[in-house]
Amino acid sequence: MNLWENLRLAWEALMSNRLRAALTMLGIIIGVGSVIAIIAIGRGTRAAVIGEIQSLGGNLISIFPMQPSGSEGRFEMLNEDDLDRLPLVVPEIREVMTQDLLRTEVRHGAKRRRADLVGLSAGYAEAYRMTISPGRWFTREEDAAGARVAVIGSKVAEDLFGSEDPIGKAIYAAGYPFTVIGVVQPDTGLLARAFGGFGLEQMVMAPGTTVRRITGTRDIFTVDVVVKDGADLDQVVQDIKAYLKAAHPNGEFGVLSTQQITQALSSVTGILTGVIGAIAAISLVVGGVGIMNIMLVSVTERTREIGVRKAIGARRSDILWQFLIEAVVISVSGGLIGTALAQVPVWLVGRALDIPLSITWDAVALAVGFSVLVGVIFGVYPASKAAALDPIEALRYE
Amino acid sequence: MTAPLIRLEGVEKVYRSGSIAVHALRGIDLEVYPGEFVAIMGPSGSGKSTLMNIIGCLDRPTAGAYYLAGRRVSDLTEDELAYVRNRQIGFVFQTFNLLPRMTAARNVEQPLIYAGVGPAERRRRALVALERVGLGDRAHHKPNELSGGQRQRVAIARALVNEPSIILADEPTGNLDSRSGEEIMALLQQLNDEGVTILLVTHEPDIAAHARRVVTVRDGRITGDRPVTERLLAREVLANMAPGGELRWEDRPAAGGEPA
Ligand SMILES: Nc1ncnc2c1ncn2[C@@H]1O[C@H](COP(=O)(O)OP(=O)(O)OP(=O)(O)O)[C@@H](O)[C@H]1O
Ligand SMILES: [Mg+2]
Repeated sequence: MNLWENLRLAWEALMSNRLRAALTMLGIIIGVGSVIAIIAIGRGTRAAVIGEIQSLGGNLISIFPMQPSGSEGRFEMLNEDDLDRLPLVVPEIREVMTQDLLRTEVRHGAKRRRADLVGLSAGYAEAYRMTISPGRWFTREEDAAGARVAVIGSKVAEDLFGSEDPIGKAIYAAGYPFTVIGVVQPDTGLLARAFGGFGLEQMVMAPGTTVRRITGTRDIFTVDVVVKDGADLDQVVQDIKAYLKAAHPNGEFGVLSTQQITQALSSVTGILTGVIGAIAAISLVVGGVGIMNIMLVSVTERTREIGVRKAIGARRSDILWQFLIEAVVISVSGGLIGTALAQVPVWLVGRALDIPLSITWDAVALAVGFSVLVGVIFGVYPASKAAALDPIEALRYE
Repeated sequence: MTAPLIRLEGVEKVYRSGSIAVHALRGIDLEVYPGEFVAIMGPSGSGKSTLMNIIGCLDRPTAGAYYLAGRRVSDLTEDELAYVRNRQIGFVFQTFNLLPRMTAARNVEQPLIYAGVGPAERRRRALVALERVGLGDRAHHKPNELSGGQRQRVAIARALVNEPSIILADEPTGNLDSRSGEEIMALLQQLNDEGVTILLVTHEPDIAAHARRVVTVRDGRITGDRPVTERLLAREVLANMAPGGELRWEDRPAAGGEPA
């Protein structure tokens, strides 16, 4: 086989019928283009989401109450005793943080609105990468003392203060006065844009101790545990579950580490990418059938040429290679064009989601590999048909 | 005397389509020696092309034996037949059978590709072959830019580029006007003088008279085999054609189109 000569012949054949070549490639262009785009978008968004979750703290475990199975009884909640005991029972725990929630009304002067008063531990601002501007977050001391300080969401600030500077001003939440010490800006991450985020900008955040004093309860809505670096997260989850079983025999709790969340998320996006990829692969098959169809037409049209080639000394294998390489050239050209065109949706999606997306070399290699495969699989039948032609019959063909 | 280059013994060819059997050849005995120039004549359907195809290793006889340069062709594998067609035989067809998308030079190169010759050497030999048929200046023209006579000369260049010992020409002048046909005959006579064995199928006695020997085929059998007594020399015929009244062959339109 003379590869270079065959490539040249294939190129000449394609160029002699450009429209037909382009239409034949269309299936492969769409198939390869969508596979490439889906891989790039799937990988990029997954990496962005996981990166975001991990930036919240790769070693965070959430504990939250769940409806006990088979009973209509009320939720059993964690309480302040658990906060003291947990770090003692599970020594890998560095910090225990609490979340309490009170649906209420906030007021400043004559302006009022509904908002959630959320009681949080001092560690949250850092753990959740909150952007506080202007002002500051509350300290551990303020939390311990139950200080009446509040950090308000930017939307709340706008509704209550307008263009006025809220820092140092008083607001009333659930009827109690608080001094505003900071404003939280909305979350700007990908997840926040996809799912609405935590809605920090609509909240009024105060020290957990302060909020629990207002509600008059020792129950805690959700506990987030920060684990010491290097600890085995799964083991800590097990230990926490064991503790909860002993301390709250009637309760039911969800215990979830960020690691588990990222794993669940990446398996979901993985499945999604796989399913869409499979659909795109079907269009590759359709493209391959198109190539086979046009190659069969081409073999018939060029019967005379095949006869002449055999008369001047072409072996079966020479003819086989010629047409096989032509089929592969069609499909690989389609694959390369598809790869190039895939840049467009990838760029658009990357811009819309504001995340870096790129077509990686391994995806291009995969696409080209697939195109070669499609060309060979769907080219081999027409090519062997051409190779098997009887030279006399071929020369007599009108 | 030397051994025959081509020897056929009782060669038969039966075409079967369904229940109908066509006896194209009914027992051909023929010997052709190196350097001969044989014209094969006979009515339409008598089996001339079938005979040429068998001699050219494009087809195999149904019965009988064919020896080419002492080798029994029916013993050869398909790849060996392709090799023989490539190295030992050059075909010239009535309808030229050039590849329409390629220049004359590329057309002439094609047999060398199958002979495994490298691109530079291929190009060089193709140009030499085109020179030999007087078309050195048309090397980069495509077939549709050439006259019928020029196309047939490109086909002859392609047939001789691999320096075969035999050229098989099946009605090479059939689609040409008399002057172009005469020029093709001049070329074949020149090649024959250089030692190439030539077998030529023709209907026209004037064309057959350029050969050295005429074999007549009728109904699949050889009915006549005689030497040419008054041989025509194409160069002399051309010289006697009215020089002014005739168009130069370069300017002549194609007598027959390229096959679709
Ligand atoms: N592939 C084929 N199938 C069936 N019959 C065939 C086939 N090829 C040739 N024949 C028959 O064999 C006989 C000889 O054909 P061939 O082509 O050899 O004749 P020819 O002498 O070359 O005629 P012409 O002068 O018209 O070219 C004819 O009767 C023809 O119909
Ligand atoms: Mg014939």
